[in-house]
Amino acid sequence: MSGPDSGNRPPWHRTLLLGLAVVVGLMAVVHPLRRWVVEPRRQALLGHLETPGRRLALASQFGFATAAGVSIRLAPGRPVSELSDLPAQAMTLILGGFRGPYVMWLWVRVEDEKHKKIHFDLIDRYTKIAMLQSDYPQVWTFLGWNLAWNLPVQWQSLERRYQWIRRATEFLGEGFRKNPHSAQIAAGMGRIYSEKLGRSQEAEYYRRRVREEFGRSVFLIAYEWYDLTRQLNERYDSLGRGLGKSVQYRQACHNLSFYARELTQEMYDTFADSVKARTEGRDADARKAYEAGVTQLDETIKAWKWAWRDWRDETVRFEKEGIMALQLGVFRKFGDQAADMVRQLETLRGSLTYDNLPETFEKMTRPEIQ
Amino acid sequence: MHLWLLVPVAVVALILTDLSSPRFDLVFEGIPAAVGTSLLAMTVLAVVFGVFFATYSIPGEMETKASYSVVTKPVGRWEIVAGKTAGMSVLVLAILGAVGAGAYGYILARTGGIQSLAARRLEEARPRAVHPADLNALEAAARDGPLSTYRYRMVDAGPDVQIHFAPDMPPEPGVRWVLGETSLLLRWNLGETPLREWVASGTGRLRIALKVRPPSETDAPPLKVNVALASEEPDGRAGPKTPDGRSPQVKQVVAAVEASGVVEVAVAGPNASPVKGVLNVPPSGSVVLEVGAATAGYLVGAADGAVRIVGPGGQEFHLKAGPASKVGTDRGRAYLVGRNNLPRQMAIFRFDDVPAGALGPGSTAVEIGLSVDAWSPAALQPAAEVVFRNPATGQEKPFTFTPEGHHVTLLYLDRAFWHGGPLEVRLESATNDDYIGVVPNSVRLRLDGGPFAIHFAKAILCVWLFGTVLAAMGVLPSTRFTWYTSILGTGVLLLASFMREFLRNFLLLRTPVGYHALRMADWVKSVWDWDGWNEVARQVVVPVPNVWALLPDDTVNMGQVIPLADMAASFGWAAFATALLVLLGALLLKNREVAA
Repeated sequence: MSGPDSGNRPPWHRTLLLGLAVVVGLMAVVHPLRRWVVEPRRQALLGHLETPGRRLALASQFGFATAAGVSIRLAPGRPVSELSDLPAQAMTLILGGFRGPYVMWLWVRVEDEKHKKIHFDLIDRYTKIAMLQSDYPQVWTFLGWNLAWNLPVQWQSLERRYQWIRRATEFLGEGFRKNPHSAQIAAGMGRIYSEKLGRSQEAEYYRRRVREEFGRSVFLIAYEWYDLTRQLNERYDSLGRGLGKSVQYRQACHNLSFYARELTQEMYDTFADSVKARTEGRDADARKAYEAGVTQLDETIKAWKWAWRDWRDETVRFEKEGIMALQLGVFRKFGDQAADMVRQLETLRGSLTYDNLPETFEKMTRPEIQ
Repeated sequence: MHLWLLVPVAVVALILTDLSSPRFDLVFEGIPAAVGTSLLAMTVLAVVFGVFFATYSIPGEMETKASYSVVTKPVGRWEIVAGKTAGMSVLVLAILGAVGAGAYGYILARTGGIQSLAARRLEEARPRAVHPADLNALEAAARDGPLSTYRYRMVDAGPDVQIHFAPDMPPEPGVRWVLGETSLLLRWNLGETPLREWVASGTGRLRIALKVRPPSETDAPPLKVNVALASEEPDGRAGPKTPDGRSPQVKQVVAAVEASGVVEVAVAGPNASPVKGVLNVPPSGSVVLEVGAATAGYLVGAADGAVRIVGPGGQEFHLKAGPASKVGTDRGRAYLVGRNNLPRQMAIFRFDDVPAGALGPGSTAVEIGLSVDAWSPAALQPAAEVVFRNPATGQEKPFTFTPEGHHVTLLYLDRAFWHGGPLEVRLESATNDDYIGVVPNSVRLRLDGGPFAIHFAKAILCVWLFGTVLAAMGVLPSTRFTWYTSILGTGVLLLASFMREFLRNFLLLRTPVGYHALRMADWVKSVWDWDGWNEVARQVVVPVPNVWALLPDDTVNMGQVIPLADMAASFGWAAFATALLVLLGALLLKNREVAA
């Protein structure tokens, strides 16, 4: 503390006091911020808490409508990011404030080109949009809807159509990877498997292709996605706006019923083969087909029981939640149908023998999927 | 400044962008995407030069006082501006050339991968292909690689819609046929007949003697025909419509055909009130009689002298002329109705004489682009048939393919079958209930467009022209204003050129400026009747030329070559615009104290 200017400096204890005052002052500002704003928001982003702090943070960042829960913005939970997302995130950062206008331009362009039936670059542009707005579940579901419904019908060849729908499932799969808590995206995926690949006009071809590719029934895959939808929504409340909760939840049950119906069809066809072989005098083939049919009958009964249990569980759930009687009636109706099928098939199982198959088969009808 | 650094940066950027851009179909979209991305990278460079460097050049020299040593020399101001623009243009060309060379190398490197991918895809797709011809384009990509260029040769005649008869149907000379439930019609002009005078006093009759060939199906319903009286203007156009858009002149009845093939229809005068089952003569224009078969599968024909007109008093007129046939069209499309069995409709297209030299060494394909109205079940794969016929040798080559609405099907012709000269293409829809709309120019020859390198170089030259005009645009304001003002002005002008149509529509429809411009156009039109005045008003409200039109369009990415005439037009336009901008710049610079 010596030298020519030392006389002008404040004494050391005053400097110390000033330093302490600054630290205390900063803590007085920072601590409440951390305690009531930052930490609750961090917790909320991890999917744990819903606090006024989170609301405030959201309001400051995205506007009051979002904070009030009105906007579609932000799926709950932290978006997943992997090393492969690095270029996308870098691009988002580099674009900065230009991201909005650029995405707007991309949206206008893809919709315009869709109407003009120009499909060159479409997948690329969809990917770019999804990359820049990856935390909006509705971006994924809307573009996935386009890929699965509006684009395949531009082609006449079923194989080409199937390829477009597969692109849609890959696209939504990517969306689900980035938003693993979004029930909305999971429901979108289930819808493609169930409605487009399982039950559209040309679904017979698609069902066959899905079985070739995945080795499973398309309705089982749809069920898995819809089941995931239920679980995610129960935990994160992330179904978003759109179809009601009970409608979305019962899609899982419906797909189990469709799966059981598909098995019933296969069983019917096998018994038909057996009857035909017996009429043509090929007794060995007839017996073999009969045995295969009986095995399928057992599987079918199991599938219908599974469907019935699922319908019953959902009925109980929504009875507890007290939804409208009309809606509850739907659950009861389809549950009863499944139970009825179980009874009929078990009766059939009890009475069916190789000898009485032709007479029994005459009374059977092949169920339709729809 | 180390401007050369932009070259590797641009090439790396385009490679990264191209590799990270997913495609629906890499075989057919990989190379177009790479070409599109490289042209985009070059366009960005041209904009950077035009907007940043060109506007900075003169103000920068004035700031550093480097301009003192130039303007004190005995050179004209226009020479300074022209020199700046030319220098910038040469710089742009050098940079684009270097980036283009890098892009070309990258595209060549990608080609091998895409060709082998096409071969793999071909093996996967072969078992699932509904018709072997559906794989034609994939086979060509696996055989020749994806670097093909093409240009079109339009048909010389067609579509001429006729009937494809079954082989067991004997020909009847002089008879014109139409097929049931198609848009084909038999047509007679009754303008010169006494029909209108006769039916003015009472109801007359039209007696038409038709020839009928029933379909091969045993359960076919009895034949009915549509008979209509239409009015036609002297020049062949349909008569005028009512304000609500209907055509009251067309009177139509559905009539059963007697076993003898005769159809008789009552006809009343134009002022008689309409009665069910009676045709009313149209009140004005020439009278045309049209007959179409309303039951599927029937062939209905007529020879000369098939129509008789019977007046109210029993007087009779025998029309000697034979029928013409007419194809139903909608929005410029001729319709082909699909049928599994013969007879069915076919559209014939003819190429008169294609010189063998025009084919080039590459593959020759016929491109077929249709619209399809599929009323058949969705699970059914529709089919179309095309037969190529070489009139010189009499050889025929049939293909069955899946008609893709809105997308082209490519069918390749081998040289042994056809190597120039005349060619006939017969197109049919072979699925029951499917309607193929033959869009204008839907069938055309896709000829080899020459080496890919030349095609790519042409596209780069287009970008260079764009860059040159842009450089001239950038230099112009910088002769008078500061760098910041110039850069802003050029940017705004470029944006205005990009949004030209939007700005025009906005100004014309939403602002007083547009209102007055259109009012003025109306007034001028009342003095000098010319339809183009509205367009002049559109141009006047936003008098900005479309600089972006110099850039190559999406078809260039796909391999369609730019015709030399278009290139010459672009060169001419760019040279004119650049010269004009340079002169304006010289004028502005002349009035400025540069070395003060």
